[in-house]
Amino acid sequence: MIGKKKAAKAELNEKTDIKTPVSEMIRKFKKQKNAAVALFFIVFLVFLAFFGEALVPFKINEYDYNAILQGPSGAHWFGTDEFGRDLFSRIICGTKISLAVGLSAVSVGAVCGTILGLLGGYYRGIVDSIIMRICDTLFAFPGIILAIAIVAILGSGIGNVVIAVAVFSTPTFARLVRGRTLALKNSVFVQAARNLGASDARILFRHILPGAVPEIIVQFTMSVGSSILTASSLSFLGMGAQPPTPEWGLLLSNGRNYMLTSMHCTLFPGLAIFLTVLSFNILGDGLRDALDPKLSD
Amino acid sequence: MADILLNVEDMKIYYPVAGKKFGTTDYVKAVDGVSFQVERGEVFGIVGESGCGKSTLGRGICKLEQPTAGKVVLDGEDISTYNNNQMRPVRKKVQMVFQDPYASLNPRMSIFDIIAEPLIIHGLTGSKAQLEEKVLDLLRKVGLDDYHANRYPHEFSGGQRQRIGIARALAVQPRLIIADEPVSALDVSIQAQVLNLMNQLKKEFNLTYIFVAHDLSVVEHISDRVGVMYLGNFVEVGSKESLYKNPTHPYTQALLSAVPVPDPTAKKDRVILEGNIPSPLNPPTGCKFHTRCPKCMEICKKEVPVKTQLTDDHYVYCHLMSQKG
Repeated sequence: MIGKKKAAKAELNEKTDIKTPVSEMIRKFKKQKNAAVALFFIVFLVFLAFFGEALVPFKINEYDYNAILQGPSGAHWFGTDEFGRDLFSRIICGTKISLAVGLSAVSVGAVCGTILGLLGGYYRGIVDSIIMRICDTLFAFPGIILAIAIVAILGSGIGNVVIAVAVFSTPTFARLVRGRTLALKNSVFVQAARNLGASDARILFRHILPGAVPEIIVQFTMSVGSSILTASSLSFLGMGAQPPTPEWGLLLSNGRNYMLTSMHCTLFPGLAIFLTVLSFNILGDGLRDALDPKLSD
Repeated sequence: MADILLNVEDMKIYYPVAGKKFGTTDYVKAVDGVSFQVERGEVFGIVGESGCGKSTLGRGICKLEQPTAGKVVLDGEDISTYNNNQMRPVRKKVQMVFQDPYASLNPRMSIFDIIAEPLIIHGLTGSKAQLEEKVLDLLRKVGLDDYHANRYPHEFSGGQRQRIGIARALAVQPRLIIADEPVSALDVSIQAQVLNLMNQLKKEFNLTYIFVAHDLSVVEHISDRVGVMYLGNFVEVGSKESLYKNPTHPYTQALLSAVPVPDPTAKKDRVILEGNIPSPLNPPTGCKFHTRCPKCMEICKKEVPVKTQLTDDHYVYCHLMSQKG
C-alpha cells in the first residue's frame, strides 16, 4: 500500500519536475562554466590523492645520483631535485597530503565554528559575548602568525598543522553562522516552529542550520583553498611536514636553494599550490552565485 | 455562565527602549492592560489600525511575546507564568495562523515536512503510514491535493500557502486558533476563499478563533463578537450585530464610517479623524483617544474612562456613555 503510494509519488515527481532547493542549485551551478572547470580539476586532484601513488612512474624516495637537478625531460616530466628524485612523482604524491590537511582542518573548523555560531546567535547573552570575544581575538592575528604560534606551542608536524589551521578557520565559521542565526532566529517561520512547540534543538538544527548551509558550503570551499596555502607555508617555513615528505610547501622550500640554476624545482610545486588554491576559490565563487537566492537568473 | 475558553485579565506587554535621558528606560506600551473573555466555539474579532497592539495581543496569548503583566487562563489552566518548556504541551491547545504566508513556511522544507512537524513534535505520529495518512488528510481538508505534499513553499500561491499554514495549525487539533491577519496579505478573491475555509473548518473541528484584522468587512464576515482596539486598549467590545449597527465609541464610529459600501450612490457621513495615532511610548493621559476625538470633553483629558455596559454583550470605554448612564 505504502509502496504503491511511493511509486505514485515518484511518478508524480517525474511528471511535474519538482524543483527542490538542491535541484535548483545544481541547475544554477551548471551555468557557471569557470566553477565547473574548477570542480573538474578538484575531482581530478581527489582522484590523484587516492590513486596517484600507484600511477606515478617513480617512487617518492627513489634516489638517482646520476640525474641530479635535471630539467624537465621525457623521463622526468617536471625534472629532478637535488637527490635526483622525480619531481612529477613527488608532486602527485603530495596531492594527498595537501588535500587531506586542507579538508580535515577546515572540516574540524567548520563543525566547531558552526556549533559555536549557532549557540551564540541563538542564546545571545553571556555565551555569545564569550564566543564572539574569543573569535575577535583570533581574528586580530594574521592567520599565518597564529598558525605559527600554535605550531610553536604544539611542536612541528603535519598533525599539529591541521590543529593550527582548524583553530584559525573556526572563528570565520562562527561569525558567519552567528550572523545567519541572528537573522533567521526572528524570522516568522522560526517563530511558527516555536509556536508549534518545537524544542530549541529542533529549531536550531531543522530550521536555522539548513538556512545557513549555503553560506557554510561557500565558506568551506574558500577556506580549503586558504588552508592549503597556510599549511604549505608552514611546511615551507619548516614547521609542518618534515623531509622527506613530498609536501608541496616543503618541495618549494627545498627548491629555493637552487632557484637560480634549476627553476623547475620551485616552479612546479608552486604551480601545484597555485592551481589547487585557485580552483577552490573559483569553485567557491561559483557556489556562491549558485546558492545565492538573490542572484536569480 | 457561558463556557469560557480563554480569559485574559489586565494583560500588559511593554517593550523597554533606551530613554531620552541617558541611563533611563522608557517603555513602549504595546498592550496596556487588556481584559477580555472568549467563549468556546465563538469567533472573536480584534480590529484596530496599524500599531494599536492587536497582533502583539494575539502573540502574547500564545506566549510568542512574554506579557509584562496580567493573567491568561486557557481552558481552565493559568498559563500566565509558564516558560517556554511548560508551554510546550499547552501549544497543542492553542495554535496560530500567521499574517504573511510567504514568511511563515520554511522555504527549505517540503509541504509534507511542514505539516508533519507539529505531529512529530507532539508525538502524534503513530506509524509512518499513519503519519502519511494524517498529513494527506489535512491537506485534503484545507482543499489541497495529495501531490502537493512533495512540493516546496515557493511553488505555491499566497492563498495556497495560507491553506498550508492553516493545515499546520490544525494538525494538533487545537481548541483555539489565533489568526493574526490571516487574509490581509491575500487578494480579495482569495480572501473570501480562505475565510470560507476557516468557517467550514471551525464547524468541522469545533474550533474557537481569535481573528485579528484591520479590515472591518472581513471581521464582520467571520466574527461573532468584535473588539475594537486603540493604542493598546479595547475601546469597545460587542457582539457583531450590536457593534456594527450601533457603534458607540467615537473611534468605532469613525472606523465604520470608513468602510467602503458597494453602492456609489449611497451618501455617507464620513467621520474624518485628525492627526496620527499618538506614540505608544508616551500615550495621552486620560482617554487615549482624546487627542483625535471629535467629541472630546474636559474630563477625557484627565480621567481614564471606565467600562460601561450598554447591553449584555456590548460594552464601551467612553466618558460620553459613562456620564449618560
